[in-house]
Formats: sequence, structure tokens, C-alpha cells
Amino acid sequence: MSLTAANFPEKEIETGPAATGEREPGSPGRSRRYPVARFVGRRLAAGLATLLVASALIFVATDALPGNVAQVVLGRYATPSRLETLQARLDLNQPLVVRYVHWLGNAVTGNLGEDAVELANGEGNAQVSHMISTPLRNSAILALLTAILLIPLSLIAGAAAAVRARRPADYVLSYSSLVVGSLPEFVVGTFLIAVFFSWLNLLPPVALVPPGASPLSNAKALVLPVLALLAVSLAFSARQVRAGVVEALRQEYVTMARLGGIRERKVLVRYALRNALAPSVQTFAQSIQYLFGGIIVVESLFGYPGIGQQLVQAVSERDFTLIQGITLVLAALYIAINIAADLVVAFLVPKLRTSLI
Amino acid sequence: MQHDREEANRQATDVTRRRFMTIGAQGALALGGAGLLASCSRGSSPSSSVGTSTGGGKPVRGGTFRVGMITAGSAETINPAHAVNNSDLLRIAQLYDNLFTVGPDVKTLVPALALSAEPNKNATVWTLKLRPNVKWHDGKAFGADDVVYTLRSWADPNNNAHGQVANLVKFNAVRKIDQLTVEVPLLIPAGQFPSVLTFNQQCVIQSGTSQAQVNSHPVGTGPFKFVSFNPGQQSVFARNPDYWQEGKPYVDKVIVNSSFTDENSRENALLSGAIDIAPILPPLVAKSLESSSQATLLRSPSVVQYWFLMRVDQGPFADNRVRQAMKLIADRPALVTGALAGYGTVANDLLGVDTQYYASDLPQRHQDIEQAKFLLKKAGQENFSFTLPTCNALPGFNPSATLFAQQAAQAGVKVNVQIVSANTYYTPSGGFLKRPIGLDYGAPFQSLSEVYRTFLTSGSPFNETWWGHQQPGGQAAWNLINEAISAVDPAKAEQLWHEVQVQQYNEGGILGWTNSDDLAAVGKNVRGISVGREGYMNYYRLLGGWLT
Repeated sequence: MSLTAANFPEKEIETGPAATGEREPGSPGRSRRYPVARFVGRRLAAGLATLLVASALIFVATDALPGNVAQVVLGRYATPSRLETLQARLDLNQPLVVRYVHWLGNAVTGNLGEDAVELANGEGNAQVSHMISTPLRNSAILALLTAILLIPLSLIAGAAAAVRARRPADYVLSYSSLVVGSLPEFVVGTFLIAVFFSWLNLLPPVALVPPGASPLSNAKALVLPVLALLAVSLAFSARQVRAGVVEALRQEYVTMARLGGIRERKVLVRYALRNALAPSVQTFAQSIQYLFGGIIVVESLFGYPGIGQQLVQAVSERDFTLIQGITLVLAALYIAINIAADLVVAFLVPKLRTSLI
Repeated sequence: MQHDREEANRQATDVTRRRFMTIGAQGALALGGAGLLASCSRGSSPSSSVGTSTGGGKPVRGGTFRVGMITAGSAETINPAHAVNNSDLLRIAQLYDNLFTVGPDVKTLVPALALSAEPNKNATVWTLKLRPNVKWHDGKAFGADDVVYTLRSWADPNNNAHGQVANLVKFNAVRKIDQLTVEVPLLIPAGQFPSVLTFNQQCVIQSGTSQAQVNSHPVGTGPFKFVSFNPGQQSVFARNPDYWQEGKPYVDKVIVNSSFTDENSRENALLSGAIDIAPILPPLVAKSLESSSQATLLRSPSVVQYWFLMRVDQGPFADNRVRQAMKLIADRPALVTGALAGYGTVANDLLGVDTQYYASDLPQRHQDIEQAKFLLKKAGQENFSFTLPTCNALPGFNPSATLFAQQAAQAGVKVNVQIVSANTYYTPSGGFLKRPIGLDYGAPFQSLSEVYRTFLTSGSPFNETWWGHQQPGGQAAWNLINEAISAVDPAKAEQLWHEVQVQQYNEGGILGWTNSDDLAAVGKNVRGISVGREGYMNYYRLLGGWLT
């Protein structure tokens, strides 16, 4: 007797490991109340501890920048009176630990301090938190636009390559993504500018955003930066999805599903792809982290006023309060994205969810 | 390639640390994407002649100039007392006027808010006659009170205009004679005093203005009025219809976009028409624009002087034979080609090129390896080696150090090039005013008096060669410079300045290898903008420009 769809009801197959979220009777989670909340709580606590360590590292690292910070900020105009005033204003006369505790205490309330360079210029009271809000929003817009395209495209390209594994289409997809992925963003961006601006004159080569304006008010200008980011991150993400799907397609439950006569498209989407999502979500999280903090090159190339550009400029100016503020916010974002990714994975893969609880 | 581009960015921004010298980055010797994009430019012609101006025609009123500048981030200011970055200087040049400006030949002074400056017999008191019928942006009349207030404000050491006039002006004794006459008593005789009034930060602010007002709502007499200022992002200025230069400015508005961290993106913005004017270009970006059909490259010689500076008072270079050997080792044309892509002219070992009394009769020094070896042998330095600290404060600095090391090897001299951060290079902890040899540069100075007061006299804040501290002869060297600074009679001044320069040429610690070009680019529809040897883009003057 052969196994066919007729005598292998779909309903039974759908109770496989990927498709169900129910716990078995007597599982450990049953005896606990609010297991998900406990899991979230644990991850948040670990995240906060990580952030605390990161904040200490950030503070020590910026303090270790070469030269007396006040002197570097003031440059050749470091007259003794200006040095003294700036040192006092920035608390530089206090021990490192005292300054750190003071800074951290303020940071918890959202106060990231005053901008060191503006203080040095005697033009005072520019708040770091205020200074970084617009660039952070701009980077977030660029990152989210890219992510919205990145996730479905990665899944489609990765799955398409996986089902054609070791066939010409797979080789084309894999090797072309390897080539694009190995190119620096600068080269990809320059190539896109050369094609879409210099040659075809279709798209602007810069994405300037005047103060007070939204980057979305000139959406055409965002096309090339998003494409550049997408090209670089898509190659990596698609390869990860492909690997996950290839692995999942080798699993017994997939074989069983196929043997059960379920349509191949459904096998791919509901069995293989869904189970391959766990590592893929982590990959997407890494990509989004990169898109927030690591898009310095693309922002510079297209003149886009994001947080990456601001960080580069702050480092160049030894604007240490701004460096501390930006890096702390980026660290918090990294940790938050990691926690979010863990939660998504836990909810996507019941097996993981039950084991975590 | 990416590294090169980052290097370009650093070079373009690191220079912003430098105050007082009031010059900026010309960019970098980095290829970046410039070459690629240039080669892809639509309809580019094989070559075109590069001039100093966009040409004339009948000026057209209206429109907006959008100027793109490399950012200095939160360090940017609109206050002349704190201005130092290129974008700062461009902004204050739109808002304010100086008493005098520098003429295109550098030697001549052009009256601005002052019509004339007359010294007493020994040049210890100067009388300034001011321009009548000048209005401030708020409608008040400009007059002597404003000039007295401004000059006294320079007494504050925290004012970036202070350095040029410290130990020179008796601030408290500056007084108003009448509504349009001001008397400026000096601490020392100064035959070329008015030249000190030409520096960018030496612009005139309104009497009674507080620093807070200057920071937030600046009121000037300049061609454009303040509209808005966002540091590291954008500043907007509107045409001043009451400007004292009849009919000028021609455009209604100026928008300064100072958000660019990357030279390639600034170039792309120009090529795509997102900006109209890009002042102070790096050499290789300029190269890529030479044949562009979408932008016009402007080029003028001699805007920034590049030097290797050796201490004359101690260390291995205290022996003049060693200093002379270094000057003979340098292959200056090769340095200009290799470090600045040819965008410079070969310099002599003197300060203040193009100024009045500049000793252009002294022969250009050339490479002479055999003579250098001979001098080193006589000095007992046959196996001479030293460390040459350098940084990327300006395009060409690091390449010039590396090239010089290669040239020195021909004379058996081992030079260890040490690249350090530009952020600390000009601070005491980075070795500033301590190292036996280093690199520096100078903006165009309007007079020898000013450049020597800045670099080589007893009160000089930047006497990196420690000139005057050498024994014996240091005090005599200073006395000679001070005598030349005091000279009022032109013939006497010429003779004294020649003596000073001969001594400097023969014994000084300055190895000057180039006067670099002023490079800027504008859109094809821009007219009336020019570059020149008196300062970047004629001291950032936009008032004579218009759009077709």
C-alpha cells in the first residue's frame, strides 16, 4: 500500500513540530504561571546588564582618547582659563568613577549631557539627546525602508535557491550574492550612482535632507541609498535563509509531508521555510542592527544626515559627550533588537518556546 | 579604495581643528569614486581650460545660491569670535564686513568699512576714516562706536580675533574721534598695521551686541542677512537690499549646506545640481572635474603655503648646516606632483609669498644631493637619521613626508615617518612646539609684518622653528624683524624686510615646498564667482555672483 494524500490526512501532519504551538500535558511550563512574561523578564534583565557593561566600556573608551580631552576640543586656542572653565563644566576634574556614575544617572533619565564642542566654543547648552534625535530618526527611516524590502526578498531568494540547491539557478543566486556581498558598500553605492545618475540620469546621487524636513518628502532621493544597503545586506541574508531551508528540507517531517502528498509549495512554505526561520530571524536582526549603526559609509556617500555620519563627525571632533550619547543609544538599540529577535524566534518555533520556558 | 575615501574625509574635517590660521581643507589625495564618476559623466568633453572665474556678462538679479561645504559638525558657529572652520568663515563673510579686505594681488588693501588708515609719524597711532551711509541689518547707522566696540572686544583672549592683535593694539585706548573717525593706538610701531584688519574674524560687529545675540541673531553690515543656522547642517541668508555696494548682491538667498562628510557626495551634489558652488576642493576631486560638462572648475595659484619646520635652537637641526642640507634634499617639483597632484607652485624657503616686500629676487632653491651630503658630513652627521611626525591635517601632508623620506634616502639620511592623529598634532601633548621637525601651513597673509608676527617673533603663538631662540644671534634676529615691522618709509621697509628674508633664507628653520592652488567648482549656470591668491574663493565672496 502506498502512502498518498488520500489516506494520510493533512490535519494529522499539521500537528508536526513546526505547526503547533500547544504544550503537551505535563510539560514543565504548565506548572508555572506567566511563563512568557518570565522569559521576557529574563531577557530584559540580561539586556540591561549588558547595557550597563557597554555603558562602562563606552565611558572608559572615550576617556582613554589620546590627549587631554578639553585640550583636544579647544585645539590651539587652549588658553589656561578656557581649559579650566571647560574642564569644570565637563566635570573633568572629578575621578573617572564619579563622572561615570553621574553620567549614567543622568542617562537613565534621558539626559545625555551637553555637547562638549559647543561648550568649548562658549556657545553652550546644546543637549546631546536633542542633537541625536533627528539623525537617529533619519537612520531609522533608511533602516526600516531597507528592512521592509530585505525580509521578503531574502526569504524569496533564499527559498528559491534552496529548492534548486546544486542546480544552475542556485549557483547563479549563490555566487552572485557572494560577489555582491563581498563588495564594500562604497563600491556598490558608487556603482549605483554611476549607473542611475551618471549614465541613465534617473535618480539623484545624493539624499540631502534640509533641517526640519522629513527624508520621506523626497522619496526619490532615498532609492539609491536603500538599494545600496539592500544589495549588501540581501546577499548575506539570502544565503542564510538558503542554508536554513536546505537544512529543513532534509528533515524527516518534510519527507513525511511530501510522502503525505502535500503540495510542494505548501511543504516549502509551511514546513521547511517556517522551521528555517529561527536562524533567519537572527540574521535579519543582525542586518537591522547593521542598518542602524553600520551605515556610516552609505550615509556619507549619499550625504544623508543619519546617526552614522554624526558619529563619524563626533569622533573627528573628539566631541566625547556626543560620542558617548550616540554609542549608548546604539548599544541600547542593538540589545533591544536582539531581545526582539529572540522573542520572535521563540514565538515562531514552538519547540524553542517550550524549551526556553 | 574605501580607506582612501575615509582618509579624504578625515583630511577634510581634521583641518577644522586648526584655529587662527583661518584656512581649510583643500581635500585629499584620495581617488575615492571621483575618477569613476568623472569618467561616467554624461557628455563630458575631453578637456577644457580652467580659469580663475566663471566669467562675466550682465548680472541677473534673483535666485538662490546653494553652497556645499564639508561639515565641522557641532563645532560650527556663526559667531566671528569663535569662527575657525571653512563653513564658519564662509558664513561670517556673508553677514559681516571687515574694515579692509585684501586685493587680488595680495599686496594692496581694498577699503571696506574703512576708507583709509593713516599712521602718525612713527606708526604708533593709526587713524581710521570710516565709510559713511552704511546701515546695519536692523536699520541702524554704522559708525565709530561700532568700530571701537569691535576692536575692544578683541582684547578677550577667548575671541579668535585676539591672536592677530595681541601685543599690538592698546585696546582700552582705542577711541572715537567723531562719528566716522577712530583712533587706534598701538603698543609697538607697526608700518603695515591695517593688514591685520583683513583676517576673516576681524569683521565688525555692532556696538553693544552681546555674545548671546551674535550666536543666535547676528546683525551685520554684510551683503546677506541672517535667516537661520543649524550647526553641521544648513544656514540660510537673505539678500541685504541696503548693502553699501550698489546693486549687490545679485542673488536673493544663500543656503550653505554644511552637512557633507564626504568629498565624493559633495561632488555628486554639484554634478546633479543639488548645490551650485563647492569651494575648497581636494586635488583629485578637482582633477575629475577638469573635463566635466556639468560643472566649471576654478583654479588659482598660491593660496596656502606648505612647510617642513625645523627647530633652530636645539636638537639635530640647531646646526644650520643640517637645516641647509634638508632644504637641498627636497625635490620640490616632485613633492608638488606627488603630494598635490600638481595643484601647486614650487615655493622657496620664505614666508609671505605675494606680499609687499616679498624677496622674490632670492634664487629658487633646488635639490642638490651632493651639496646636502657635503654639508651633513661637515656637520658630523654622515649617518643622519630622524623621526618626522606628520598628520593628515591638510591634503598632501602625509604623502609629502613619505616622499621627502625617499628623497632624503638619496643623501644617506634615514627619515622615519611617523603618522599621528591630526586632532592631537597641534596640541602640546601631541608635540606641538616641542618636536625638532614637523609640518605646518600658512594662509595667505596680507603683509610680511603679519606673517612674521605670527610665526617668528618673540610673541608669536606659533613659533615652531623657535626662531630668535638660537644662540648666538637670536635676539639680533628678532630685533631685525621688529625694526622691519616698525618701518613706515617704504624704501626703508623694503631694505629691512630684504635683510630679514635673506637671513631667513640662509639660516631659517623653514623648508617651504609649495604654495597650493585655490580650487573650487560651480554649476554651469553660475557667474561672477572667482578664486584667487588672496584667500579661498576671494574670502568666500558670493556678493558678485549670479545665476543665469
